[in-house]
Amino acid sequence: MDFAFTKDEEDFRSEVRKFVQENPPDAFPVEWEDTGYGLGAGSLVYTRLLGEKGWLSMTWPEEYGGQNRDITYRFILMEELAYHRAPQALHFFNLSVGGSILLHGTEKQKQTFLPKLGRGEIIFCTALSEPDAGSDLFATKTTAVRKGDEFIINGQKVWTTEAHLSDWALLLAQTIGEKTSKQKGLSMFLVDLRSPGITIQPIPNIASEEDFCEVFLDEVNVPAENLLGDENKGLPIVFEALEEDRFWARAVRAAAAKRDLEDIVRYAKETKYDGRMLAENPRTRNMLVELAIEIEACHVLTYKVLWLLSRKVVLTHEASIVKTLADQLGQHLASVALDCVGGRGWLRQGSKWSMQGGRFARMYAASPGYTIAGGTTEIQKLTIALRGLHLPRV
Amino acid sequence: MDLSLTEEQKIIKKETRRVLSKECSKDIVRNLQKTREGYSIELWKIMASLGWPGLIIPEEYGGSGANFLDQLVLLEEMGRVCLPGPYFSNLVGTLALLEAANEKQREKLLPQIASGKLLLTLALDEPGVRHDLNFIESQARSTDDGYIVNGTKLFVENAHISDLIIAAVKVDGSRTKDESLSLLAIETKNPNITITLIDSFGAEKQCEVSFSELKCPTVNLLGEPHLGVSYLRQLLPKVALAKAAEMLGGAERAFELTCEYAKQRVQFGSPIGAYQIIQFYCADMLISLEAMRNLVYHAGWKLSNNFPFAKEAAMAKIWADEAYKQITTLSFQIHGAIGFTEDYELSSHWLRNKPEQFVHGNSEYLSDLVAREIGL
Repeated sequence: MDFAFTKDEEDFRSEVRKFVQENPPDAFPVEWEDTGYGLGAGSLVYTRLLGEKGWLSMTWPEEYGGQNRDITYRFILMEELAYHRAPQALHFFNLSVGGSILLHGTEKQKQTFLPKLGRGEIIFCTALSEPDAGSDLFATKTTAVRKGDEFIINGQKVWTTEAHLSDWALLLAQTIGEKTSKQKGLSMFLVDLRSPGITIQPIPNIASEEDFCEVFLDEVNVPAENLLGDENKGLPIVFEALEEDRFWARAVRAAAAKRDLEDIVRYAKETKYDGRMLAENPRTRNMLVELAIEIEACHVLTYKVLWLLSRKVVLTHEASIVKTLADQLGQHLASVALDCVGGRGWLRQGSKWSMQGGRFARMYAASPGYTIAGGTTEIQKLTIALRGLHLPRV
Repeated sequence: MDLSLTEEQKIIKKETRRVLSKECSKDIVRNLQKTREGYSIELWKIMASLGWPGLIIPEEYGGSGANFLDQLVLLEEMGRVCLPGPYFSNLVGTLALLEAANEKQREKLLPQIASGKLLLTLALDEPGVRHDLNFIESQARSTDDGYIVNGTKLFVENAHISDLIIAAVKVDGSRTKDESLSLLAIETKNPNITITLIDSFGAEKQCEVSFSELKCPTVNLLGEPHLGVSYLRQLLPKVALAKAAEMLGGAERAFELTCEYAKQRVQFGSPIGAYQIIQFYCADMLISLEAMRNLVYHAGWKLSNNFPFAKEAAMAKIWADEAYKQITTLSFQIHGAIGFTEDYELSSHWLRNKPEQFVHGNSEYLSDLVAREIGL
């Protein structure tokens, strides 16, 4: 048993650290504020910088602009960026969609999209949820009707993360069947968001940030060659991508939390509190110790799943374990951070005495979303019970 | 990164499971718990013949020279069956010797331990003193040829069947905190020792040990005088990690039993495992269990590779304390009444997980260690 990274992997880690020092995250404009999911903020410029280094696509094959590297390198990159609070939220779906195109795309789709995705020249989002189809994707109502060489798409998506900042969407739509039929066919489409008939309306979230959107589709023409995978067989692509996304979406939750914990500990040691330093208060110590243990638990579980993935094990429920624990950790962290930091932590970015750009307040405000976004905790637990433990279905 | 078990570890796991499933059934466990000795000499002999007491003892002293991870694999299997008897307390004593003993003491004692012929245990706590290295009251007075020892130790596990007790004592009154303790290896056949079983609710055999003007020769001072605190600071995180591995095995077994039961037990026309609340309980158990496993093995890997490990070991034990309890609690809830009959296997896990939390450092004690390690 060996938890160590190889020499080459450690060298790469140093390279990423050097890159972050040379490109300090604070110096770059941000289109998307960090709401505490672990992937930090989002910055188009920074994403392109990472793309120029070849790092976004480094796990892809060379013929599509990649370097054929093991996914451990992707993890190390993300871990270092997270710890140093560099923005990496915007290109998350690029890597996810890129993965699906690699697995299911036509040669032309691979040639067209992968190099641009990898360089960060285009930004992709994923459009799954609808007003009446949240956790239940079988209830998707958006339709795609074939007409010659095109599909005509009509319908509405909602909670589409970063659609307003994206150029393209990977979108799920109904391709055959009656609305009452269980045999409803669902397909995946690569949709240019500048197509006529598309309206994108950001929905400010509880932290007043524009993270997710409504997407209206009215007679949108999509070339048939933009169908990803087989017609009527879109859902397996979604489920396959989801289980991996669940891992990658929370893979650096622990690394980001580690940095936050260090900052809270420093604050507690520098702040006078009831006749002594805050760091000497028993309840504060207790809360921080519990948090540290949760971070470590999340960290080692992440390593376990990373190792499975690097051995090309097809995940069934392992990522759901990581996601559930990571989201609990995120909510716990946001709450403990504010308990320790107190009033100053609750000030908005720009306020005279705010700390770290209002980071903890924004996290706390957004934290109810952690256990909902990307698959609710209930869906994760069902996945664990049914696919991991093979408990019976009703 | 390679998180699989080594070939040797796989063999240890397989062999241990095979032997214990045959020799240590739940009925045997329950019967042994009710005896005064609390263990079977026949089973101990089998374990000794398989090299278990000496697994971690270096080869030059008659052991197998295995690393700590190998030891954790073995303990995990023992935890699955709630192995009764002195294996764990003996291991704690062995680890104390490996930490503190000088060459002569190693040569004399370790081969006997490896062959299973000598049993030892560690005596730390006292009435009024729990998990404390600074306020221990047992005293040793220096004389020309050794020490005169007085004092009372509590929760000395398996002292009644041990040959040797490693006792933390103050030598010649107080010194600075860090130099306050020394470790003495005291033979239980000494007439000035009184060992009394203190009947606990669980299966483990706890003892009160009193020393009254007991003579202990100088050669039985382990390592250097006054270094007891530093030896114990090294030792206790290892003990915590070893215990966490045992608890991991127990939690894993309780979890497996429960998932099986949930698939078979039918109520309202369906297996109860088809109901979401039961599914969620099971998912919660698996999450805790998987975290527990990886915390234990990660800390074990650090220790086996000579990295600093105390923080990780303490975290693993704190997690295990809570997780084993949570998992057995949910196991009962899913089993219903059948679970808390004396006859059912779960009862052993339940009555075991609480005292396992206390052993040589509970969560509260270890939290202080973690607090220091994270910079508080």
